[in-house]
Amino acid sequence: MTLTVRGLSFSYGDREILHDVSFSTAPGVVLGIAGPNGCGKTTLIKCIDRIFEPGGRVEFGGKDMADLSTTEIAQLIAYVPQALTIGMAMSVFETILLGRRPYIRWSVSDADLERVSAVIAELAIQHLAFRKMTQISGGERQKVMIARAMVQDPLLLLLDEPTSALDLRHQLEVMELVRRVARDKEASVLMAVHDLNLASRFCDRLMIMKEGRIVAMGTPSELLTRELIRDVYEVDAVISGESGYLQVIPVRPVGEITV
Amino acid sequence: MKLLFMVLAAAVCLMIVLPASAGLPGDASGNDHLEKHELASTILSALKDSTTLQDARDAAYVYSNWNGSPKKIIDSSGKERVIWRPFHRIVVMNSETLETMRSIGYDTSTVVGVDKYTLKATAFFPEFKNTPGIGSIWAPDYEKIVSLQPDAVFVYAEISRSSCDEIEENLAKTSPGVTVLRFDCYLPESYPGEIGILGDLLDCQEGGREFLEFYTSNIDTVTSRVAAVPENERIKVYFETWNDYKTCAAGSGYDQKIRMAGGSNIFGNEAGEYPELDPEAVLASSPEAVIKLVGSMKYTFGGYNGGEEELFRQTHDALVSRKGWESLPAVRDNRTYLIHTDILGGPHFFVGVQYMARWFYPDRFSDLDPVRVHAEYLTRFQGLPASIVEDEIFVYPRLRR
Amino acid sequence: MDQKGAPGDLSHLREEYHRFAAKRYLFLGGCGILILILIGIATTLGSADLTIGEVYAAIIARFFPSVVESTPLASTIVWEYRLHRILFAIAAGFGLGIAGAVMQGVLRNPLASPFTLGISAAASFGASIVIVFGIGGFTNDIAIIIAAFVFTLLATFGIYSLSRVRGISPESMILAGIILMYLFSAMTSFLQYIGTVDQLQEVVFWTFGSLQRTSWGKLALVSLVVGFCIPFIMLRSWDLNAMGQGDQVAKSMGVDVSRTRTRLMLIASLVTAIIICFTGVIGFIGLVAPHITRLAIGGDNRFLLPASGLVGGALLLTADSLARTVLAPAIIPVGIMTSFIGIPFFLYLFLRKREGYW
Repeated sequence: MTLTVRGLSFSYGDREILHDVSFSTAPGVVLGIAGPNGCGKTTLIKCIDRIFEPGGRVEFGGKDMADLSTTEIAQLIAYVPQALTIGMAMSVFETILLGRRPYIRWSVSDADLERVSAVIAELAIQHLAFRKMTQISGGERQKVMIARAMVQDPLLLLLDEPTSALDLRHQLEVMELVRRVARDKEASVLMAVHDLNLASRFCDRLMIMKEGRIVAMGTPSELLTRELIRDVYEVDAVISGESGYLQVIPVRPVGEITV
Repeated sequence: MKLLFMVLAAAVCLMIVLPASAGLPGDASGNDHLEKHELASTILSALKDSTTLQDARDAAYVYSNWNGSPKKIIDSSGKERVIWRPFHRIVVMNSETLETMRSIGYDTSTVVGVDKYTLKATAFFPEFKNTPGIGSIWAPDYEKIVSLQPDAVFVYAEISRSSCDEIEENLAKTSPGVTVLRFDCYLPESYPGEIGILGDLLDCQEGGREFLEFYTSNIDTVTSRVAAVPENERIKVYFETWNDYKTCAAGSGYDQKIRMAGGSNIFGNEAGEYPELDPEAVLASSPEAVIKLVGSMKYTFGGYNGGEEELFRQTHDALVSRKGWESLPAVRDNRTYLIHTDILGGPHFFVGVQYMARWFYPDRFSDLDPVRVHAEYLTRFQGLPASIVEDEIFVYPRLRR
Repeated sequence: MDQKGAPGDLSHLREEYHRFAAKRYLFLGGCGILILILIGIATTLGSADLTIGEVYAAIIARFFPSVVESTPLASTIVWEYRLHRILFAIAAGFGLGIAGAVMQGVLRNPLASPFTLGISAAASFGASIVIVFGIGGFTNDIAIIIAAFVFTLLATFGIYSLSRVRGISPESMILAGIILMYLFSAMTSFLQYIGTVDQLQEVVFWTFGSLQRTSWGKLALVSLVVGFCIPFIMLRSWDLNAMGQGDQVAKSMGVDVSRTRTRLMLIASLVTAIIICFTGVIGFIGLVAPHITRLAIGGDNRFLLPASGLVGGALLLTADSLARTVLAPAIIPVGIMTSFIGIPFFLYLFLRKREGYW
């Protein structure tokens, strides 16, 4: 199913955060959203999942999201937050089982348990299954969060900076996982990213935002140029392709340093 | 001498209130004794300067009534109080003392301020309806008290000691000329002594003696006969205050009065003054008599402020129809009573004690007539009509006479 | 491509979950049995000095008079004085325990309870108004109950209205609750100040909490209301679980967060109101019971809610039984006893090293 966003805008109080954002993305595609702090990428993700109520139109599979109930939306779209600091009293299994909430009325069916077990196996975290959330590391927690989103059987996966709290190894593991989910489930993935290098390596398409507007959209190799980096981030950078992926290496800030 | 009395007779004018300064009025030598010549000069100077007229009157009073010396008494706080001149304006913050002042025949027109509970008791203290109120011992209106410029302020001694201590301290700081006097006027152990001291203090010795005799004889008629009842034959009593299932124990005055009347307070040994009881315990204790206090909180009716007999009846019925109470000896023998706090909690508690004695030992006390005693107290010592005793309800069921 | 675990692995996980859930059912069952045992013991306690045999004879004789005999005194004491008080303690403790668990879940705060949110303070204020301004008479008792109930609901409405201004989030509700708590406490203190000495004492006693004035009728009413509210609460267990992960995650899982929060707060307040209007302020049950339960079986509200109720009932019954036996025949107000029980528990929690149990 295709996600189409038209003229999305959102204000918080009298501050306009998103202005006339329009784009679309296809199933199986990992679309990264990047941009400087405060550009609105997190807000955009929350607006698509109707955590916030935006102006404009969000369509998924041709249906206007505003017409769907929250449960129906939850069966289509799953959201993975940045980092987890609450809800620690539950075990890993129970936390993942929460993701079945759009499908559960009261009792847990065998189908639900099978789904959870399958996802746990896919992510190779069986050994953690009945530990408490406080007893696992940050990287493992992030995997659990993604697992929870996966059992929602979503067709659109929204991730808010999924790797910002992770070490190198876990960053790679999580990104591989995300790509696998997109491919195997034919799900669209929208991912707010901080790290341009991760984005360039793992995203099929990239969207650069600045001050609530889209300034560029395309493949990483098309977008990641010195000029763009200077315009958007106000940083002089060197683009290197040595490793086989485009890497952005910041050199110095442009203009005056205001510290 | 004639000159003296002429001056006094001629001195009819507005009361000029002088702050009661320490020292006898007119005591020029400062030896705390008023000599005849000092009195004479005070009067003479008053003739010249009328602003010192009050001094002259007081000096004359002190000379003729107090033998020229200041009056020294020890009040119920144990402190010695020195009175330099007779009181012209007093504030009485506890109604028990006010009542006792009436009992000993003191002219209460000197009372310029009373507490809010006295003001509320319009039936018992009709003459103070319009007297300025000064708050209460627990929330005193200091500004009002001081603005009334009293010579003396009366508060409790033992009861609410910390509140009264605070009042005494504050007055000492702000108005050192005001004499603070502390009397409880309703504790059985100290009341007889207080009657005498108050009589002495207020120059109502004769009235004090008369009242004391009335008081002690009415107490003694009960206690002397009760003494003849051996401990193990005393009536087992369950006493309930106006809070359901709250009884009184050894620390409280009611327990004392029950024992005075010869009753054995079943729960008298429990901790605290007013312990709350497990209802089962009352059932299990098989009381021979049950007395319930009314007059406050849920049961605010009866007594001097009036109330329907119907309310008494309802309360009594509710009491005896409590679950399982039909098996109690007190209920089976019709020995459940209601008594109003007006005749058990205050200075004329002896009326209530006599009622209880009649209830506990009807044979021994068949000649006792608390109704008559109550009426006598009201007419002889309180200046109230005897009809109150017939018109208002103080006990239920009423005594058959 | 990673290897997926063999199907055998998956069933192993499923079985382990079943065992996991079974432990919780066991805990619930255990609590239920504990309560039955406590009831059995509590009925034999009291100042009336009945033997165990007499007590049970009185109970059985009511149903099978031909089989067992009992004295009128024993029968009266057991049926008119003890049983309804004991059952009321269970019902009230259950209600308070569940209400506390709901409030803690809805507000994501371990300190949330009817106490801390000003609901109890409002009830005290309602009672104080009647005590200080009431004209006396026998309707005073009923007036106190109604006033306490009405003001409790008023406080809830106040919390809701205040927090709507700032968005129905846990933070705004907690702040609103604290504002109301201070407001009602101050007003109650003012009433105490202007009242007579007797009235002051009665207000203070009301805030101690007591099960002295229970009756079969009151028990029926409380049980009815609490029983009516329980299905509402239980059906929202999953939503409560989801809200535990954060408002935004919960929304993404399909939960209407502000509506659910409002409704659950209202129901929890209703349950609290119907209980404390009869008993006065009984603190700590709503705070402690969920914590004990969470320590034992974790945070899944499908189990946490009913178990908090059962633990609350057991706690209150224990506290009340102690309150009427420790100084027999005098009675300690049960609210004081629950505080005595609650404080060592909190001390224990405070000294534990393990983090994040919450």
